[in-house]
Amino acid sequence: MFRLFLYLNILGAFLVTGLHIVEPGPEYPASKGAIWPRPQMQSIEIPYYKFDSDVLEIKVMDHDCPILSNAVQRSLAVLRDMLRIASPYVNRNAPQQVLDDDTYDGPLKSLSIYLTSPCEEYPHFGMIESYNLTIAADSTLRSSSIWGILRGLESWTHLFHLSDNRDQLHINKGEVHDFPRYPHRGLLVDTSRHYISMSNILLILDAMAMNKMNVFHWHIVDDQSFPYQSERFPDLSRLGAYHETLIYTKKDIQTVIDYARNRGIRVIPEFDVPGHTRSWGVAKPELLTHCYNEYAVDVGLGPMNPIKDSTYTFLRELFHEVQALFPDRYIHIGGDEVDLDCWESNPEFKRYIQEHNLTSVADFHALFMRNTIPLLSENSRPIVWQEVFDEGVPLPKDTIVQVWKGNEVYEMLNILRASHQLIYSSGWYLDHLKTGGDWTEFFNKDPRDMVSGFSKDINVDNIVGGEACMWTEVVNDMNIMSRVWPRASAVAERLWGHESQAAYQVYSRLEEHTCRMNARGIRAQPPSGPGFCLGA
Amino acid sequence: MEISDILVTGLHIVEPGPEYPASKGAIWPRPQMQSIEIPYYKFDSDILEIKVVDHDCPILSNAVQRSLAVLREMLRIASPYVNRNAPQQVLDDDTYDGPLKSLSIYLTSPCEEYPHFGMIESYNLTIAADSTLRSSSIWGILRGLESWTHLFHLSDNRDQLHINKGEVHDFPRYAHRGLLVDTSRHYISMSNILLILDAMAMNKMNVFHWHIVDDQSFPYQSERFPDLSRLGAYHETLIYTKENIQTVIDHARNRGIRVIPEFDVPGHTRSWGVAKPDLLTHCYDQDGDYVGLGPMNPIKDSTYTFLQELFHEVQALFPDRYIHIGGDEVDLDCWESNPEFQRYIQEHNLTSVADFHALFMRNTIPLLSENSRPIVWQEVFDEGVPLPKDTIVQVWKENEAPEMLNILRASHQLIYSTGWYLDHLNTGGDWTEFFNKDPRDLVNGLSKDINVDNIVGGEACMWAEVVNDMNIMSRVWPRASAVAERLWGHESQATYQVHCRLEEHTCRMNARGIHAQPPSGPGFCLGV
Repeated sequence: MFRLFLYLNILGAFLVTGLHIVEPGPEYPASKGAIWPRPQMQSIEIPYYKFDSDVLEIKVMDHDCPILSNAVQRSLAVLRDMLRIASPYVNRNAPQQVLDDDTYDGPLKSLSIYLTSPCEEYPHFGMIESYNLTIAADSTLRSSSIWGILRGLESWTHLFHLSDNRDQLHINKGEVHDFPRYPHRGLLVDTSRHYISMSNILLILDAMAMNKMNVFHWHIVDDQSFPYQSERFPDLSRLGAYHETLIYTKKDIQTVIDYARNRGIRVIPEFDVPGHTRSWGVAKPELLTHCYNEYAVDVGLGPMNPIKDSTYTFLRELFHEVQALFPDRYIHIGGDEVDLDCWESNPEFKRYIQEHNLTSVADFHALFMRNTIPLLSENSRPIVWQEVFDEGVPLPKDTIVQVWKGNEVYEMLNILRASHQLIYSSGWYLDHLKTGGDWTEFFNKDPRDMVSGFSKDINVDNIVGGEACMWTEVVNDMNIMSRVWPRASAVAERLWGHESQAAYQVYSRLEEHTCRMNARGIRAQPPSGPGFCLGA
Repeated sequence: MEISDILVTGLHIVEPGPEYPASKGAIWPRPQMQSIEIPYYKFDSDILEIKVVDHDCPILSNAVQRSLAVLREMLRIASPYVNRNAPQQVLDDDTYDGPLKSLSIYLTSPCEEYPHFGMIESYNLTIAADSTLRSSSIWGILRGLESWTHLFHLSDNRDQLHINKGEVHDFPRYAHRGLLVDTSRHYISMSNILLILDAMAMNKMNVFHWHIVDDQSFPYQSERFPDLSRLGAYHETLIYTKENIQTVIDHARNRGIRVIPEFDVPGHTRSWGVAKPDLLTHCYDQDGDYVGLGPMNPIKDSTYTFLQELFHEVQALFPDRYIHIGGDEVDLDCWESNPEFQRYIQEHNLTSVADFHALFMRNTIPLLSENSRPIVWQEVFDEGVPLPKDTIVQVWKENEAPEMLNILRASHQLIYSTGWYLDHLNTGGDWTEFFNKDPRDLVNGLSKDINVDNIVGGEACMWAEVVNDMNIMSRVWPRASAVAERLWGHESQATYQVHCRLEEHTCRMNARGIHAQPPSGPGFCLGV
């Protein structure tokens, strides 16, 4: 108070307390030709080249395969589209870009692709994704894996940027040496709470490839609906889907797997058991447990019934079919939020507890998993939600545990001490909303950093990655693209390798990347604030 | 261990299928009075005759054509989902009363050209084989036709459209039921603006508050001052031309929606300064260094000369009597920091820097055309700026009840927006919070010397910092539908039935091309 008066007297005026200067235009101007996610090592030089589709030759020098040739064609289409989309916005009044200046090095003549090992048929856990890219008049892209070549081609397209008057595509001389930090970089999509159309699933895969994400975790069924069309048990979707047309046929699923494979993306289906299975019970109520209230009145169906042999007979057949369809070695069998209280409430289960001397109702969960995991095909590896670990269910050593609850540091330490691998999702729930946006919070969470230094008897490399999770209680085809992107891009960059916090430059790069996704048909929402994309 | 020890603590029973099954043929917003009888009629476009019995005009005939197109679309969209295995719907049962033969429309007064504040929107609708729709205003007829389309629902096997016998007597509770759309933080395409107007009409909202310019960009293309958008828009193509604006006004007029432009002054004007920096105040830091441009300069005559010309052009273009002139979040500190203003304070014996805001408004309001009425954000009232009695004050800040009481005690009209900011997000959705806020209820009983009827309505506000063409439709709808029903008249809380009605209404919007997001939880719409 006294100070205020002093100022007033001295200046004969008022105190400047908190000026709020706003500059016109976008809050974060977009970068030009920045790769998302940021590569491990990159040099950018001043000389630049121009894209001319009549001049540029793509040479496949070593191994080749349809995955490679498809990716080359897609990359060229992206570049042509960048020019096409920009054409209504070309500034014809601006002076023609001078191309014979000191820094222009002529048209891009060639990109030679050296794939030094034969193509693999399907992407897999631990696949090689590293690549080296050299941009010059005669550019080169090298990798020992088709998946590395795919990542390199994606980066290559990111390096192109429009000239100032928007009539040309330029790319700067430079080098990229790149590899991922985490092998498992996933996106979970729930197609049970709301059905997601095939066209949006394919677009999501396009966007994942643009962000170098490599696991499509397909949470295909849940309590509310069962859209997976089983050949062996067609009634499951005929009766359990929201509508008989809102399903994924075998052919649909093969389309998804093939589309994903061509982009280096694994498709891991989740058939969440024994909870979250209410929709299975529309066609097959005998699979589920009857739950009773405190007056012993039957109040509805709960989790699967772990004490009936028929449950496992059924699951064996279903998993057999599912694993014949999905080529990935990993399968997610859920195990989250099992309503133990339902099991406890059932008189038959009470008898079972007595007869078998169970000490806890969680023993039923252990019983269920002990009987279910051997039903999976040989060599397959399960992924489970953290509750399965938390409830002391014995798990094969090669099981991956997915951490999704709060208090995640403590949980991760426990899982690592038990020498399991884990994937992290707690901080990356895309259904959680915040006014103004939240991608920086996603970005600033690094699962290995969270536990680093807490304990010496752990191996942080067992944190093999993470997944952004799009639960769809209030998301469907109308809003899923803008809800996922570019928020999942923050997770993608975190998992690929960029280790710093969300700096100003990251905002600018995400601005460009969002416009890039828009230009490629992905309805990503504005990441950070006021701004614009042209031609989206 | 004893079995009896095992306690059932908290069963979590989930039923399969949608969380809230959609209603069938429920009107949104819920009408004031409605009776529904069991007999029903079938829509047959070859039989149904729409008769305009009294006054007629293009607004009416356009609306009739749109309504018929909606019904035909409902059948077309449902066709891939028809259940051909189900038994053919028996139409000669006790409750089927034959095809709908006619709808006679009695508009008992001539059409008005433009919707306006206080327009009549009441209507009476009787559904029978020969149905009737009556109103003394074209705007009431529009509302009634909208309700009429809502009453139709698909038969169980989805191959027919049915409508139940019944009556609707309906009128709005609040006169001003608006949606603010900010086209400055992000440019919104013309096609999305027209779709937003379509959706507003589906929700009986009647004011499109066009927050057309702001600090970040100036997309309004002025004929008199073309540099404002040429330099101040994000890009020279991201603008609204005079023709664009006329299209919006006409599209809105045909749906009974007023278009009120907001040219927010004297703050939120940084983009104006790209072309015209002389309009704005230079701000200085503590060390007396110039740090950038702030609000408009209220102590230069040229500011008002410019505003007079601009407002003249704007008001010639927008027919509504009301114009929003903003007045929110003025950076008084910038004015205070400027030596010229410090001198002015001394020379004119000002007692507070807010006096500059008063000075600005005192000079600006008379620049508006005769008979026009200003709308301002609450700060203008809060800072003691003298306002004409017929000014409407828009309440947007927290602690809204005392603010509303103050405005009402000063005998101003007000519109409410505080609880209806669509940019505020909540995990899982928030429409019930919007729905359960009733502006008149907020102040009812708090004071005797107020007239709650001076709360003339409210607006849902879509600030566009993180919203653009990619997500605006799903961000606004169906959340603004909750506000629309609250303002139209439904007075109860968000019950189970309201959830079911909003489920149907959301699918209805989807079917009509509005990308409304799921309102409440798991479920599905067919054919979108």
